[in-house]
Amino acid sequence: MLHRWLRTLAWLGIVSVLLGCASAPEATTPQLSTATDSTMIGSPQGTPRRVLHILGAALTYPGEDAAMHTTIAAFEQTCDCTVDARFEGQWTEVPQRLQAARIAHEPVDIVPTGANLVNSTLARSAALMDLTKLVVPFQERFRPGMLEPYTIGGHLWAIPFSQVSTSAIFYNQDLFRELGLDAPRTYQDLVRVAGVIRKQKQIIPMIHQGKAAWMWPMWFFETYAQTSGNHSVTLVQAFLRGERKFTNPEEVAAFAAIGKFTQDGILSSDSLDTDHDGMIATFAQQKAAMFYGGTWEVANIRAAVKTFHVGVFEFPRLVDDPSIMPQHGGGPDSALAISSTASPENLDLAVRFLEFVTRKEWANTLLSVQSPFFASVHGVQPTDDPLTGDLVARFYPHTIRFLDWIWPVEVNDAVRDGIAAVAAGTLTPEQAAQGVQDAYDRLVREKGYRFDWPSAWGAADWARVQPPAIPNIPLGT
Amino acid sequence: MRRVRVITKTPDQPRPGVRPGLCRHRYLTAYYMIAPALVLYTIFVLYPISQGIWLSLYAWDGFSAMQWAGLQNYRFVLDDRVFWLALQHTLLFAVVVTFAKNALGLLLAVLLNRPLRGRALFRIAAFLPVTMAFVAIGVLWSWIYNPTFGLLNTVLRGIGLGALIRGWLSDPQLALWSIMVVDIWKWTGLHMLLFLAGLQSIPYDLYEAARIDGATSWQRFVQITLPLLRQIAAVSVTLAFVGGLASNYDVVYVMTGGGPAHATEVAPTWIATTAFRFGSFGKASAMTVILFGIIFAIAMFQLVVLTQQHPLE
Repeated sequence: MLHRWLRTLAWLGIVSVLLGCASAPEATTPQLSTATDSTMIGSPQGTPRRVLHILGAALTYPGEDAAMHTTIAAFEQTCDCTVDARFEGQWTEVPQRLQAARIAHEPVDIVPTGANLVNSTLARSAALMDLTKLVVPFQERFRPGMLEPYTIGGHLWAIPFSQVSTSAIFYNQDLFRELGLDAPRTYQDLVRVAGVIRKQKQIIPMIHQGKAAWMWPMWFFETYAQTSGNHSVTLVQAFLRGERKFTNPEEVAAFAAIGKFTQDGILSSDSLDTDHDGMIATFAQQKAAMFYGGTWEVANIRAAVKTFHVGVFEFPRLVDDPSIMPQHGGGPDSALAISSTASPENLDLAVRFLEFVTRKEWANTLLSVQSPFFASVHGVQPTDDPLTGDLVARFYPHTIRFLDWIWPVEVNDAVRDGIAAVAAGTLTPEQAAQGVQDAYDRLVREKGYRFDWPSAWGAADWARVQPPAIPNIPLGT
Repeated sequence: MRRVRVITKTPDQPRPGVRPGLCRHRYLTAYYMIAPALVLYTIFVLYPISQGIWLSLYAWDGFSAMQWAGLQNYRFVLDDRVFWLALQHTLLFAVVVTFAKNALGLLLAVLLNRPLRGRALFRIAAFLPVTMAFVAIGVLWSWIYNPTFGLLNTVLRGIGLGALIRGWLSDPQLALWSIMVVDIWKWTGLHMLLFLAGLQSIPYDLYEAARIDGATSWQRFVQITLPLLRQIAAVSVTLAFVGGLASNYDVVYVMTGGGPAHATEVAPTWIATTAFRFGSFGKASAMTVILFGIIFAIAMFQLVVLTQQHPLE
C-alpha cells in the first residue's frame, strides 16, 4: 500500500515538473510564445497593437539612453505600435546575441550595429536584410559617401546612423605647456616628449585601453597606412582575395613600428591591462599625459576631464618619405539594420522606424549626445567643441576606412593578438605577420572564405535576405 | 603505535530471513524518489550533451542552415594551435587550483576546528567569497591588480617593495597565475567547509585511543584524520579539479578575456570565442566534446583511486 502511494506521488512529481517546464515561458512572456503573438500585444482598448523588436548593444554615450527613450516614445505615437527595445552588452557581442535570439525563436526586427560587424560577420552570414530598395524613399538624407561602408557587392545592408569618426591622440594641453612641449608631429618628437614626461612628471606618457580587444588593431591601421605607402586598404583587399601574403615587408614593418612604442617607453605594459574606463580615469587624473582614441571619445572626455585643457594631434609620422602622410581609420561607425528574419508583418514598421530616426528632429535628438563633428545624416547640428577646428580641418581629410571594416573577425583577432604579443615582446614582428597569414589560410580552409562573397551567392542565398515586399511608408522631414 | 581498527557495518545485503521481494521494492522506491531529478538531469544535462555531440558533426555559423561535416570539425580542432595551448593552460589551472584549494581548505578546516575565540566569525569570513558572483569578483580583483590605481601595487609601493610591482594581468608570464589566485581565494572556503564537516564526523574516541597509545599530534593527523577524510577529499578534489577544468570561463573572461595574446586563454574561453565570435559552432562543439572526454576520464580515474577503501573505514 505504501509503495503504491509512493509510486503515485513520484509520478505526480514528474508530471508536475514537466508541466512546470512547459508552462513557465508562457506564464512569464506570453508575447514570445508564438510567431503571431510575438508581433502583437493587446492595447488598453482591446485592439491588438503590433510590436517592433529592437535588439542592440548597451547605449554608452552620456544621455544616449534618455534620447533613445524619447525617440521611441515619439515613434510609438506615430505608428500606433509598441517598441520592445533591448540594449544590452557590448557592441562586439551583437552577432552572438542575434544568434541566440534566433536559436530561441525570439523575434528581432531592427538591429543597431556597426560597420565592423556588418562587413565582417553579419552581411556574409545572411543575418541582415538587403535594404537597397527599402531606403530609396529617404536615401537623400545621408551625406555623400556615407552609405559606402555599408554597401557590399552593390547591396546596402544597413543605414549609417552615427557621428563620423576619425582617430587621433588626445593630450593634456596644460601639462605639455608646463613642460614646454609641443604636440609631436613625428615619431622622434613623440619619443622625446615621452622621455620628458616620464622624467619630469613620473607618469605614464601614453595610456591605451589594451584590454579592449577591438582597439589594438587600430594601432596597426595607423602604422600600416604609413609603412604601406598609404595603400593599406588596397593591399588588404589584395590579401583577402588571396593575391598577396601578409608576411611582406610592409606588414612586418607595421608590427615592428607598434613594438617600438613599448620599446621606446611611450606605451608601458600597463596598457595591456587597462580598459576604457581605466584609460579615461588615468588620463583624467593626470596619471597619463596622452591616449590614443578618436572622435567617439570627445563626449567621454568632456564628462570626465574637468581640471585641464585637452588637445589633440595626429598619429605621428613614422616614415621619412614626405610624400607619405599619416592616415587614420574612421567613418560612420554605427548603423541600423533590419534582421533577415524580421517578421514580414512588421517590415513596414521597421522601415518606418529607420525613416523616422533619420528625420532632422530625431536624428538631432539621438546623435547630438555623441558630440558629432559631423554626422552621417544631413541636418544634425555639429558640436561646438574646441577640438572641432583641428579634427575637422586637418584630420578628416586623412581619414580612411578602418581595416576591420574590410577583413573578417578571425583576421582581425590575429592582428590584435600579434600586436599584443609584439608589444609584450613574446613574438617578433615576422611571427606576428605569419600569425595573421595563418589565420587567413585557416579561414579559407575551414570555412571556404571568399572576399567577394556576394558574387558567389546563389539565388537561394539572395532569397534569404530579400525583403518580401517594398512597403509604402509616410515620409517626414 | 598500535593500529586502530574500527569494525563498521558491511554494505547493505539482504538479511537472512528477509524476503527478496521486499528488497526489490525498496530499490524501486528509491528509483521513484530519484525519478524527478533523473528527468531533470536528462533534460538539462544528457540531452544538451547529446546535442553538442550531434552539432560537432555539422558546420554551422548560427545563422545559416547546418551542413553535414562528419569528423572534419575534429580535424580542424587538431590543427588549432590555440585550442591546444588553451588546453595546456586549463590543465595547469586545474592542477594548481586543485592542490592549493584543498591544501588551504584542509589547513583552514583543521585550524578552525579547534577551540578558538571568534571561530564562527573566521569560518564565515573564509566562506564569504564563495557566496559572491564570479563576475563581481573578477571586476573587484581587476581593480586590485590594476597597474595604475590597483591596491596591490599601491601596497607594495607603500611598504617599500616597489621592486615587486608587476603588471599582474598584463605580463604574459604572470597573468594566468594572477587569475589562479583569484579562483583559489574564491573557492577555498567551500573546501574548508567540506573538510570541516569531515573532521567533525570523525569519532573522538579514535583520537583518545591514539593519545593513550602515545601518538603525537602529527601521527594522529596522518594516521587518523587524513585516512578518515579520504572520502571527503575524493569529493573535494574531484569538485576542485572538474571545476578547474570546466568552470574557469567567467573569471578569465571578466579579468583578461583570454589575453594578452592568449596568455590566459583556457579551453572554455576559446570554445566560446570559436562559437560566438567566429561563428564556428560545429568546431566549438567538437572542442567541447574533446574537453568533456578529458574531464570525464580524469574524474573517473580520480574517483576510482581516491575512493578505495581504507582499513580504518
